[in-house]
Amino acid sequence: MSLIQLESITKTFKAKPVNIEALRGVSIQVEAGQIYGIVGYSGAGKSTLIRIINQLETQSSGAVILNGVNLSSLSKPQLRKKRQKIGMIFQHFNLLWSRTIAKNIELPMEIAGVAREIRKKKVRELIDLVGLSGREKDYPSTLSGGQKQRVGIARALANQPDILLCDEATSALDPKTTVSILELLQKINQELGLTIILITHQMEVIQKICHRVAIMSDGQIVEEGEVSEVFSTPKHSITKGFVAGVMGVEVEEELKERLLSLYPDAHLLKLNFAGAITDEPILANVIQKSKAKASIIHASITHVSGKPIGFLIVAIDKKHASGQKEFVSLLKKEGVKVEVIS
Amino acid sequence: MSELWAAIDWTQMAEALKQTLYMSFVSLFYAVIGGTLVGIALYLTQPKGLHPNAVIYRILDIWVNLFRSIPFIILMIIMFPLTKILVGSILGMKAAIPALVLSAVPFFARLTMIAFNEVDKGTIEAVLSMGASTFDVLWKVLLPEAAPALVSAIAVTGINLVGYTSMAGAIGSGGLGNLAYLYGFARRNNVILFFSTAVIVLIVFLIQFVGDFVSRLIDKR
Ligand SMILES: Nc1ncnc2c1ncn2[C@@H]1O[C@H](COP(=O)(O)OP(=O)(O)OP(=O)(O)O)[C@@H](O)[C@H]1O
Ligand SMILES: [Mg+2]
Repeated sequence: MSLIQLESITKTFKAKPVNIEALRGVSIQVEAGQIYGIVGYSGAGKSTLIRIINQLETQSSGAVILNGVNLSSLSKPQLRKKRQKIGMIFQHFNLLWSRTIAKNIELPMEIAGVAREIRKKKVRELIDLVGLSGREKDYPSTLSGGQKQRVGIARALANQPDILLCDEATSALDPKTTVSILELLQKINQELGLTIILITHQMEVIQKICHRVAIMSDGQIVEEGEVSEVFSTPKHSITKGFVAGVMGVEVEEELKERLLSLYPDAHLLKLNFAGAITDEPILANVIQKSKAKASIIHASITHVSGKPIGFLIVAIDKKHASGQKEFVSLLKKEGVKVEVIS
Repeated sequence: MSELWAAIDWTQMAEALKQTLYMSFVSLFYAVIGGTLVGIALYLTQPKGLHPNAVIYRILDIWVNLFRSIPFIILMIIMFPLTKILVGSILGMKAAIPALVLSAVPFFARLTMIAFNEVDKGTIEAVLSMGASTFDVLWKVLLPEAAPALVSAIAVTGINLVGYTSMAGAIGSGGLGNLAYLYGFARRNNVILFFSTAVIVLIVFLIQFVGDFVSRLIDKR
């Protein structure tokens, strides 16, 4: 059974003049040990969804099942107990400025009723883990954004949670700090085996550390799957937009149109590389073997979960098109998906 | 110069000062306790609060607004019968305290609610996500995070109370206001009038100064 199961979650906010349907039947399953990303544009319902997982918000219908326990069946004290095992970090860190860094990290353990000596020991461990040794007695106002988020992470880990919820945890940080926070999250996932649900509107975040991804739009999940799969063959138009954004390319249709007008006398082929196959010099081999004179006119390759993925667009002059069939079949034999654009 | 000072009976002045301080600080003490409790209730039961309760909120809200709008001097007169039951007399410094407290509680309650509402909602959400109870939220987040604002609120309320004791003095509760009115104004002793006023102003400045100082000291933002 999955660690986290969301079943047909809906959420309607009562509002005037019309009610807002923030979630319209969302179901996802997250396996233990995964980093699960949820990406979507502003207003898609991502925050609402993540806040339903720890019941800061209650769903209008549907069920949240954690480790086989339906959260709706819990009494209030039981729910509070459960929340102690679900860490959460926030876009704006939400630290208490009235407490020192050490005291901020201690707070969840105070709430859980952990003995003082154990608390102190755990705080020292966590401060080391997030790389803030020496800052224990400082107040949050003296820290940079990245350091504040490290405190947020340490605090979220204090009660040894099974799940860590991250709502736009890197959205307020610069790119370099974002990378360091993401690496910290990845380390936590690997070393502590923590399951992480991560919400973002930055596809780069998903690309860097997530195993699976769900794409949300307008209160629904429009696409879901392994990150490498979604990146190499996005299906929904919103997903394509996100993927194109991160690959640094134009939206596919626009790109095709532009290339067609630039190369009116050529056949254009799009070669999709996905997964490990890109490690081999396939293209060089195929171009050598076939008689087609193919020239690369556009390329986009990136790495997702450590695997190279991407595509090339090659042009073959219509006058020398004789070798094209062979060229295509050789590529297909190597596992490259070929799409004839013109 | 020495003739001027001679117009002041120093034991009388010291007694009046003592009475003013007693009335102000005893009523401040009760007002802060009562006002904090009412403020917490207002905060929790307000719409979208942690425990929304329209009935309780509405009753407290109306009560607070009502008693804040009754002028103190009138409140004190209306309360004479109740004061008589509580204190046994309507004269003297103890007799002023019920009215002083009752006028300051709603004021402090409102300031408490405002101070709590100013606490970052995100931090409250963060502690709720840790499994905090309402008591935890109050004790570990709202009170410490709102502490600088609450200290300022205590100072402002204290200053109000010093002002009210002077009014109460005019209708027989003693203190510097009583001295200023009875000896300074009614008996046309301008030296006493000005001197007691100066002492009152000094007390107000002192409260403000200490309040600002402490508030800044505990503010780690
Ligand atoms: N408490 C609320 N009351 C009313 N409407 C709400 C409330 N919370 C969220 N909404 C609405 O629900 C929809 C989804 O909001 P949500 O915050 O979940 O989006 P999001 O995907 O997290 O967006 P962002 O990327 O901007 O954070 C929005 O239309 C929002 O206005
Ligand atoms: Mg959001």
